[in-house]
Amino acid sequence: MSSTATLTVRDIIEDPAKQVVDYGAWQTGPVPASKFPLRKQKRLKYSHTWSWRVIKFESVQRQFLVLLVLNAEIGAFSARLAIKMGDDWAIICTHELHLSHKNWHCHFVSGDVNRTNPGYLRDKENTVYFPSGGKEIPCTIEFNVTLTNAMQIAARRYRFEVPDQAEMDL
Amino acid sequence: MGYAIVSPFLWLDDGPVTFYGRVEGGQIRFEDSGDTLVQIEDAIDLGSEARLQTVRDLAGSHGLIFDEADNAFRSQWVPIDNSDAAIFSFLSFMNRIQDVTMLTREKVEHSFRDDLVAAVQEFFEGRADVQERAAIAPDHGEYVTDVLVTAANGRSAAIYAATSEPKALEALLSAELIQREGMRNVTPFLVYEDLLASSVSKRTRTRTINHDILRLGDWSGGKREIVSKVQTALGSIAA
Repeated sequence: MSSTATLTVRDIIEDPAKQVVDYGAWQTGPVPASKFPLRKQKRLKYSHTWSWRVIKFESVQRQFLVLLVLNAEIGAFSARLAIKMGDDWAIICTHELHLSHKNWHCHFVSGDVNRTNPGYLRDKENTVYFPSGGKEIPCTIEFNVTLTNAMQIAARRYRFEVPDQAEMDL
Repeated sequence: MGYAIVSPFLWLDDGPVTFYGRVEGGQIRFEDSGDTLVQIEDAIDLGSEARLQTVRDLAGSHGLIFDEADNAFRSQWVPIDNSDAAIFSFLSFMNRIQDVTMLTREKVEHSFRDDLVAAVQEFFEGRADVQERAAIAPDHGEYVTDVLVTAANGRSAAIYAATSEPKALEALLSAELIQREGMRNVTPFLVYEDLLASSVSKRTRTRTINHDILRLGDWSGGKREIVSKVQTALGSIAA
């Protein structure tokens, strides 16, 4: 598949031949551009209350990163799926849970991900909210995301293989 | 221990403004969710000193600590039973900091240029003639600098603020003209707000650094140094 052929988030999620290149390791504080180059030379300025980890995989002849960010104090977790577009990276899906509103939900690029504007946490021009419904809906489930299960949650959403915890660097 | 506090106000990501109340020994302090800068920088780059100063000023005016090393905003510790003023102040800050995303490049560039012109005017007032947006020479009216300083000895400094790629190229063009026509009394200056984090391309920055006669200044390195360089170029400036 060429980089310009139409590609949807569903195509990527349903690809059974994903190859995980790197599972990363949990760290805290800012996310350096060398790990997640969303903004070229610039890091993502998280405080030390956030833990993060980056998973790299290949699928449909493209490169992907999944950025996991977790703040247990505030009750917030996101798994952001980014695709490499030339020299840039674009986030095409964010699967998240916050105590502040809603339950599990996704913000994802509807249609061809190749038209996503790179460099943004959320390309508001092309992103839709799922499941639909008002953001005033409260979160009614317990926030149970931890450093131990965050990877499995992301792996279930984006359908990549995860080895046993014993084989992984926490 | 503490509390995750959900407010009725909207945040930049369309969710509610959420923050944290950290409790220790009967006292509480309020902290942002720790990703405020991540969200703001999705809209604008806080790399410029002017924008970052706006954030610092805003935090300071609300009595908050902006921990730049940890990318976090925190209130002072207050008794938990007497924290109403602190919580409202923190919420006010969380609402107002979202407006930083409306600081367009043009507004910030304008602010830096204005600051540069004001500093030059202040330093040389009564000691040299300072003109804003003036031609580098009467017979080259199309070469307009941001500020032109002319000393009584006839020497002048043509100062450009490197607010954009075209502005840096304009300074290079003026320097070429000055060199080609042997205008020995005019010294061209190009002042970057932050040389290392400038929006001017690396290639153009390199060209400005290597130019034979174009003098450079770095605003983030100190405005005193810049006016001193201009003063040196003008030589004796006694009016």
